[in-house]
Amino acid sequence: MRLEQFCKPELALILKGARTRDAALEQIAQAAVPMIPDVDADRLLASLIERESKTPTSTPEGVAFPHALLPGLEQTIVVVATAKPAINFGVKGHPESDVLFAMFGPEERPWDHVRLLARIARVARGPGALDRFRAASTPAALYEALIAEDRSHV
Amino acid sequence: MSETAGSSAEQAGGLSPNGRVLLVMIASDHAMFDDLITALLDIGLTGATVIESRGMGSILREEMPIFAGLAALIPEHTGSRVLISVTTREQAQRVFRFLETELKVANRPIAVTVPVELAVGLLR
Amino acid sequence: MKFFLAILLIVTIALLSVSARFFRFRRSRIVVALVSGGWLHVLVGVLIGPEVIGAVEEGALAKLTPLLVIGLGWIGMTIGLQARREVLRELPRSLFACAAVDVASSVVVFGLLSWLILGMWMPDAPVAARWPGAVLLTTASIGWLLETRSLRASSTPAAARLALCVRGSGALCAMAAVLGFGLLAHASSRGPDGALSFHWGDAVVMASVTALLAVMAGLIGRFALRLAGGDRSELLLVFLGLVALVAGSATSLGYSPMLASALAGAVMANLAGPALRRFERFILQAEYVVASLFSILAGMLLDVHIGLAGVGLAAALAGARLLVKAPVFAFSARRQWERGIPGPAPAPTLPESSPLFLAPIRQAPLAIALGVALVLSEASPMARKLLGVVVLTGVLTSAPMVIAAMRTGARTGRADDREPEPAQDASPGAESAPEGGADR
Repeated sequence: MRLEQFCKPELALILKGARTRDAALEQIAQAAVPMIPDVDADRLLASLIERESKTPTSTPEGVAFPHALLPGLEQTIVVVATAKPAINFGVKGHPESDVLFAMFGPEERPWDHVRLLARIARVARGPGALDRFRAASTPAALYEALIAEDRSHV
Repeated sequence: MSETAGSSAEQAGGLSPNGRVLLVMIASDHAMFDDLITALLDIGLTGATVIESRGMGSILREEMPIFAGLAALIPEHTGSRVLISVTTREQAQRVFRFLETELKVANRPIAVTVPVELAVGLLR
Repeated sequence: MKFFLAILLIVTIALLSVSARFFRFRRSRIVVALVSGGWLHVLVGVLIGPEVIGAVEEGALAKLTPLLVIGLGWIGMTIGLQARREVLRELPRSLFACAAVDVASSVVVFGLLSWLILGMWMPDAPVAARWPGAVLLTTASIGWLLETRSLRASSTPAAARLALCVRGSGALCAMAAVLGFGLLAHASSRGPDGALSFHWGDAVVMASVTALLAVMAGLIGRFALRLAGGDRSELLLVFLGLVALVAGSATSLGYSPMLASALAGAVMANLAGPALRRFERFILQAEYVVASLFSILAGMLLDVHIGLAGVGLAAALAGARLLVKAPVFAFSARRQWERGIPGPAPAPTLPESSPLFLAPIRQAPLAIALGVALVLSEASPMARKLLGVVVLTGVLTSAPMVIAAMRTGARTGRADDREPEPAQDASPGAESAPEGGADR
């Protein structure tokens, strides 16, 4: 599974000034809307917040994976973002997250969703990958870094 | 539902490119198992079975410890995991490519494939 | 040049003895019973040492001190690494009870015996002079050889459970022996005139400094392992550095290197992390090689000229093991059986008789390490003779077990060697597995 099937240059973001988790997720939902017809930003945001409230998706490495399954979606969308400053996802013991991978997928294909999460996890855990994402100063650079990292894996 | 795993070429003894194989992996390094499973999931191997196992060396050492009598009770030193999956040859090749390119030699599990002639109960 | 050739010879012999070719011999129960105590390697050491062939000269023995310290450090760390909180918590109380009974009975019986016989051996020496020898012989008597392969007549759940009891409580005894020797043997020191004196205040300081050293080494080890990664060569470097720090510092301060390393191992075992687990695995996998190497070195160090007094002492200790250890273990195992010893459920009936009850007769290989530790700390002719006594005791206690191994069925892996199942497993839930399967 290649990430470039699911992530386009318009879906790479550098979040500046998003002080809270919900503010960051709102920006992500806004970016995803043009790629997902028939769904509005409010619904995307609500689904992310609902999922995040059940089990936060931040990790000790400072990465967060907010995601949601929605009925009727035709395709999966991946949004990659870095946040300056980093955002608190509310997990005790975990640092604030400054790299975010958001996913919206069809509810009818949960296994594809799991596979894609596994793909993102592999890409993010590559040696030096997170540092390269964090060093990207523009959305285009972030997207290039992500695709390069993705292509380095089988 | 019974199923023959491949074309008549396979039944005649050859292997069709999309013929099924049994992929067997023995992972003794517990620390890398999580990465291995994540990678297999990514590649598309979703129907594997994991069996907790022990190596022969571990069994031999268990009955003949010298100083480390309790080591037999420490799971990381006694156990390995065997992962088996009936999959396509192409997918098995992708798994092998992953093992060879993305894992260090020391962390690599033993992996072999065995051709499958007949199979029943596999989900498409 | 000769020294380096001697090292090469020792290492080659140790590596050969743990090679696959030699390992095949261990499939025989008799060979396992014979060699598990390390006596064969000790004999090789005696042969190549200054006492017989002289391939390693007397003068070269002093240069072996760093190697011996590393060996003691490795053994101590191997024992200490087992003291992981979550493992010890899961062990049934029965294993601790069996170990406690053995420690108490060994201290009383063997302490008294060694004190009396050492007095007869050294009639002109002051009473205090017996202390180091008595501590060695008493702590060397704690525990037993952990090998159970040669004594398992059958693969029943009861036998498996009893074997686990032998290994588990024996391992706990080993921890007690290292602790006891480390604290007591170093509570005394020799003055300029050679007289022994006790400084209990210094002993408390010693224990505190050793513990501090261990904690420091444990924390440094954790940090070093995070940097090292999983490569074997990196793990070896970390290990050598740690052992040099802990065991070397303890030795130079006059403290016990084995105790310091064991405590460091215990501290490290309780710090979480995948790197630590790889390190543990690395240490434990090298057990056979290190034990072989160490036994050869011990053989070179010991004094074979122990005289009738030494032989008598060894015979008395062996006899005491025969008369006391096995019955005490059988008694405590039976008492504890109902409380639960890990194994397949439901609890099978304890066998009325089993060769495994004789396992505690055999002296633990740790006794050799304790003897070497005394030689390093005392550097006296008597210490080397006592090492010889310890080794002889081990040989004498292994001999009856070879006969027991012969009686349990000499060959393994052959279905036609199946022993008739003992009548004790008459309960409906009892299983019996094929003989050959258990020994493959």
